[in-house]
Amino acid sequence: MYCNLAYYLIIMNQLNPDCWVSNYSDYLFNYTLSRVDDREKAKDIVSETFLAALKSKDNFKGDSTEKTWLVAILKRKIIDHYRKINSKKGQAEVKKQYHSSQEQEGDWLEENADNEEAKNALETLENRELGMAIEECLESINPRQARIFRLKTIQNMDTEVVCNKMDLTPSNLWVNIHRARKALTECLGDEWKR
Amino acid sequence: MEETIPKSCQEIALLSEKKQYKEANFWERLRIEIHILYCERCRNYEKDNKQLSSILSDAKLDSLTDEEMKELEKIVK
Repeated sequence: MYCNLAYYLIIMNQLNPDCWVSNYSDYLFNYTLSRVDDREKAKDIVSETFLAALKSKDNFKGDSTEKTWLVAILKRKIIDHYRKINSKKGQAEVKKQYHSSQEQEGDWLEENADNEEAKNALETLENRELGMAIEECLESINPRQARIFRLKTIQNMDTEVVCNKMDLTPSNLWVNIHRARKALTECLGDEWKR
Repeated sequence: MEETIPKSCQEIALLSEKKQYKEANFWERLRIEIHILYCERCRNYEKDNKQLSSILSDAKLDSLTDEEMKELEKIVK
């Protein structure tokens, strides 16, 4: 695979737009999702990022890696997205449901701070962060293995389908999955163990 | 490093991966159980692997489908 080889040329700090989608789109997409909790919006932002990157291709000086450069553009696009939302004035909304006074018995603040929505929000945030940590680790392993792992684990594809798609025998597939999972375990370390 | 791991353990490791995706059959699962009775290395690996699976299911991970990737490719070209 061409982009698989190109992976080893990245060190030379040159841009290679043909391989952007296959090498970085999953990373950029998850990065965006952890900040903009909307799948469709996230896809739009990633494609806007690629377009903006193509346009300013000549400004790339090779001081940073291709990926760092793309992430920098992505960050600006995410900020733009929030600016756009915020400029729609008067649409801000407080999502808080007040209980009717009969239900309340104890301290007002205590009862109101402890609502389900806030708890879920925190949990979602933590799991997105965990997702990002995994994503960082996936970046550091062989891209082909990472793709096989993604298809099997994240997209829940059948073994047979993955084998056809990636041109593998079943036992080869499990070897690839094993290497990816082993690398992931080592990369994640003890930090995320519960 | 990989070469120093006995062949039987390498096989168990692959079965362990199959098990994580619920694709190991009864005999394969039994083989793992028997092997980890006396093999500490594989016992630990099996434990870590289970943990990794639970982490992976907790994490909000998403991936672009092939169709979505093709759409993106079109935009970049």
